[in-house]
Amino acid sequence: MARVRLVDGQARLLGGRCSQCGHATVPRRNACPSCHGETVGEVELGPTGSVISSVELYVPTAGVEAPYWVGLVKLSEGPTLFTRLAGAAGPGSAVELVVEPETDSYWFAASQAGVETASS
Amino acid sequence: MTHFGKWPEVPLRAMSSEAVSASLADAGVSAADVEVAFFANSLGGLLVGQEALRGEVCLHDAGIFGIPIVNVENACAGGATALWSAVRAVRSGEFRVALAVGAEKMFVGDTQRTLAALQTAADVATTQGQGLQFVALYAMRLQQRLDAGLLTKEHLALVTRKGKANGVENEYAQFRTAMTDAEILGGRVIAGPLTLPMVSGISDGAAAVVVIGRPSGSSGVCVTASVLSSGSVDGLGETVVGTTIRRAYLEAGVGPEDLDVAEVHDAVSPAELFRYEELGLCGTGEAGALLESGATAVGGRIPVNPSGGLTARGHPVAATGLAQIAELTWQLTGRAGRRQVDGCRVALAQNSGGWIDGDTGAGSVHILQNRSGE
Repeated sequence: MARVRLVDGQARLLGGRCSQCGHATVPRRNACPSCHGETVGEVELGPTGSVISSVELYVPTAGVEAPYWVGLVKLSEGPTLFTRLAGAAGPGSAVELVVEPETDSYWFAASQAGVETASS
Repeated sequence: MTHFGKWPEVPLRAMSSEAVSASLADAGVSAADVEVAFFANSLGGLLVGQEALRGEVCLHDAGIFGIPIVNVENACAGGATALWSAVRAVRSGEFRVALAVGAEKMFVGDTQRTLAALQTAADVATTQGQGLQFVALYAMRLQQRLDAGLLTKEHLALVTRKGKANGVENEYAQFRTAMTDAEILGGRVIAGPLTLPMVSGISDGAAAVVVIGRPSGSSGVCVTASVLSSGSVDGLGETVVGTTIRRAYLEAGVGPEDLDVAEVHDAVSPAELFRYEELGLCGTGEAGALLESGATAVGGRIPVNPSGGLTARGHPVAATGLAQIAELTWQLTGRAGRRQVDGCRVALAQNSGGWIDGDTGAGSVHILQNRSGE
């Protein structure tokens, strides 16, 4: 089940949106956690969001070298994700989704002109 | 329970047997008296290769066989979940003697493999490749409190120092060395404000609890509340920690003012400060002041984690919830040695595990009361 997609060069996350109440989730849920509606369609979310909180980690883990930043990012469409960050980005910072479809991975980077997507 | 620690030569089944034997002896029953057993383990599939039938394998070794054995998995809340199940088996009237066991083998010679296994206590479809989640979530929540001026780094040091000091007096604890604030704050930085002495490490251990049905009104340590819940989703509704605490107080008919002692889930030692407010031991934003007052130290008004908590006792994940119950049973029966809380009659255990959809994955609260002399 892929998590990310590039659409016309723009990074998107795959999620769901309830046709009844509009609540959006990542990933898509069969039943809406907000209204319990059962008609939840697939939707592409992102790329913009804002940082709720973030922290620098000093312990490496599988495939991730330390130190690195992680945080809770609230997508413009509503869902909040625990995600890697490209670098320091404090609470309230505007960030933009970066995806790598080949590895189905994603992270967020500080919003700035010219930084929309990355591919290896 | 077993002495938690680093026991690379001791297999999961041997730790389980040791904990089971001790709990049966303490309850005054034999293996043949046990009518149903619930066995909690979280990481055995990934770390020791025993994915299926973990309970049967480990409990047959302990002389428990020919009865229903139910395998339980609920991340770090597995132990309490096994107890919750055992309590229901007895409450239903179908079984008189039920056994709850939690066991975990985490030292397998490869720290990265153990950390990777722990990371599965989440929705791996969303968290894969995103780094170490649990320590980061605690670190961010603490940083918010620090930034808001509600806590200071000295509070993080003090609560950690309190836990380490309690651990010195606990012969079952993995870490039995007192630490100074300078050593705690000067430790290797793990994430944000968290240093190595503040985080629970890798641990091997097992704990077991026997639940016996008795006529109401009989004396002894009674389970007066047993609550389990899964988490909320996307911040919709009450958190699992809040729900389980509220429902446990309701079930037991007690409030925070009635508690004599509490064992809480502090996967990082400063998380104990969150629990003060969630338990209602103090108001919102008052955790630091409550800690400073000494109320939560052994000898204080409401000692919290006299065992040392997860960071001193050790956190073999599925064993933790039952180690809390062992500690509280000893406290309620005056057998906690130099960490004994005087006049202990009402005790609360709070255990939680994992993280999914913006909340703790599973959580449980039990309230135990010593009804002797009533």
